[in-house]
Amino acid sequence: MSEENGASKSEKLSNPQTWVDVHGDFLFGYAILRLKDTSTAEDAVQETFLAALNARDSFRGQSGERTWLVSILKNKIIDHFRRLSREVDFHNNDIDVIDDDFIASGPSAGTWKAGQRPSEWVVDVANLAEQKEFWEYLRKCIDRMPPHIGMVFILRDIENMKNEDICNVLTVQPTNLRVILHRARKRLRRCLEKIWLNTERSER
Amino acid sequence: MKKRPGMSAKAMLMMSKAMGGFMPTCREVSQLTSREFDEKLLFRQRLGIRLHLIFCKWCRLYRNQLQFIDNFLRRYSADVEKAPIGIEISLSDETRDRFKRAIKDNSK
Repeated sequence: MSEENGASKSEKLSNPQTWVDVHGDFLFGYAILRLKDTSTAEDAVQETFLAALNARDSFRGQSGERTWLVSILKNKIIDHFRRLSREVDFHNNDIDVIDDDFIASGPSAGTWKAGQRPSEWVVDVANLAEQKEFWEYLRKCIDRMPPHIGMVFILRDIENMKNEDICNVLTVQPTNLRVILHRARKRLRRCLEKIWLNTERSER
Repeated sequence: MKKRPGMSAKAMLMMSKAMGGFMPTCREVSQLTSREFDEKLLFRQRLGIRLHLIFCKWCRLYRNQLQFIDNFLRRYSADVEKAPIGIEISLSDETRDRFKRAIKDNSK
């Protein structure tokens, strides 16, 4: 399988019979970062191929074949989250109170607790191996988030959707979305530090 | 144990008073840091962050690291055609065949 096939801009789509070999792994990797389990990711990829097959005539070739397939997959993922959001309580944020990073009261109220302070990261993302690691650890950390926090993070920070669009898809209030995003980013930062960039903490 | 220049509670309190209550706490700075990815902050909020960061190493680290993550995601999700934007993984032969059959059956 050559990556170049997918990267070339073509006016026409290639034979759908070749899609699985040319784009299958890429789409699967894309899906599995965003959807927790393998079978959900596989289903999303299969649905993408079939939807693409039906929409072949609407392909205009302004973007590459792979970009086009990814945009279809993106919509499948958003649909999945829309369905999932009905079963999730976006207002239940109690769980986060327990692992609060800041001192609650007294003269130091609002400052970092000693064990929770960020430590220095040593990471070189120009290094390809570390780029690959980043995605792996990102996935692990998203998996550790409660579902409602994970979904919001994926749509906002990975898919780069607008906040108001996310509110519509997941039926969540803007102020609530803001709180969830803050918690998602805080958790992700801490998780990456813990499991990936595990440096010695001088304050312990 | 080496002492690192985080902000002491005392310094924070003094700064906060000097700022007439403008000076945000670490908790508030972390919240504002996140908000700034989504919306434009008010002038006094931005000023508060900036002043706080001068004195607080932890919040500087926090902010830099969130920006680092965001930059990474922005840079590598911008162009689907050339960047790895997911996990490197292969479909199993079984799944591959299943997809091919599905495409074939639906092509008719």
